[in-house]
Amino acid sequence: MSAHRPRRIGRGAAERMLRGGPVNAGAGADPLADLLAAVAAPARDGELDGEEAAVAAFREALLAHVTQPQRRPMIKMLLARLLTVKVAAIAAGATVISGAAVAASTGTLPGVGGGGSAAVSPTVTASAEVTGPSVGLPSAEASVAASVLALCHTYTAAVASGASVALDSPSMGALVTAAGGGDKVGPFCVNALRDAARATVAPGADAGASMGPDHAGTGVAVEPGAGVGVNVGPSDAAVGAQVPHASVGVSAAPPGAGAGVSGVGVGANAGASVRR
Amino acid sequence: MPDLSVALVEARRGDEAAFRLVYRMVQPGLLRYLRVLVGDDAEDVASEAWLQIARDLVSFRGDVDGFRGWAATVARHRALDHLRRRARRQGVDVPVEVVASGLAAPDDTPGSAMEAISTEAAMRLIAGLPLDQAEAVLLRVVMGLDAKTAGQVLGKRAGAVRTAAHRGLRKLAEQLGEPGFPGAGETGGG
Repeated sequence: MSAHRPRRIGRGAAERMLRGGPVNAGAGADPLADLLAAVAAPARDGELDGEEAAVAAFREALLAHVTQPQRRPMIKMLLARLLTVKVAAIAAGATVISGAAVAASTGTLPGVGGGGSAAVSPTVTASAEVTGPSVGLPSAEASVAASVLALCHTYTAAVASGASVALDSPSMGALVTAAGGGDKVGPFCVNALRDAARATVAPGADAGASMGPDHAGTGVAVEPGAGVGVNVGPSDAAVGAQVPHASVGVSAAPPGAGAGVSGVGVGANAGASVRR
Repeated sequence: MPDLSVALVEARRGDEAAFRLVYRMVQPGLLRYLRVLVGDDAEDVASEAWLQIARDLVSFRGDVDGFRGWAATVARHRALDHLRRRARRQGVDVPVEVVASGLAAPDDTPGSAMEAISTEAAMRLIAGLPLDQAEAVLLRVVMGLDAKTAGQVLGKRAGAVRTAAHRGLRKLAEQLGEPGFPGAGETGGG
């Protein structure tokens, strides 16, 4: 051991030591500096044993962050908007597809009015008003990447379960980018999922996508003859449509908005109502 | 030496490899700091702390120094919870500081003349200091906090942390055979 002379350490020197800076030139000659260097030494065996557990927690946190149950009111608003747009989109689609049905309800298609349904109502114009907002929305191409579709599923499932969706989280970045902005994710996913359902449904087959009852539900049924059915659960908004051949049905549960049309055969009847 | 600030930014974006880097750079100091608080339970408490750090990292806002301070705060809170739980289990009602210092007391004290002091021996020496001094020294030396941030972790003023750290250094120097240094009892400086 080198003979170190007793020395006085000033506050400045103490501060330098505490900051881990060099205390004096003779490294090793200062036991106190050695001691501080020793406690600040790099990791030893066993000190990093908890790494995998910490990383696992990190992964879990990332997933949870995507669907953390907070800010529910905001999400409800978003959901309401999303579904309004959905109604609009469906209404627009219905109008196009079911010219015959609409014609029937407005009386221009003779001989089929009424049918078995009492829900006939000439309020198609109401849905036409709702249709407005759908113009200019990013229309999802049928070629939306599978990964983005998967994110849409995650997103809608989270929204349906009442969880908030952190669109600023890294994992949702691709979705936000594809949608063209965080505020467009909802409509984008509606369109993307619908188009995906259309694209993948073979004639005669059924496809359904549904969300929990309490907040939103989507059901898509495609039958031979180009039918489209969309159903959304009761409490927020609902749209139901069924198109055997040339009729379109759109129905919505009370608190939200919707249109109800049911038809059997060729454009039997159409009814639409919007309540908000 | 990897850059903690870069790793921190990337980890907050969800980069797992970056998070590993953050862990490797911060964990040794965190663990050693916890050693003086909870002794042999430091690993368990560090794990608890990292669960919380991992969970809340995405929402953490701040720079590297802020992160170190936050990590130390999280670890300290987990340590105090741990001590309270343990004290309850043991049916004793003693101040946390007493429990902590008692449990973390060194089982032996190295002699004054040490050539190459091991981390273990250094830890034992520091753990033998009064707890406030040990904490002040470790937060500054192994967690790399400045006096102000260390004060925030401990709920004290920066000056009080400086004083405690200086006193701790003086005591260590005495134990190492040095006469200590003046000014350890005063605040300010640095």
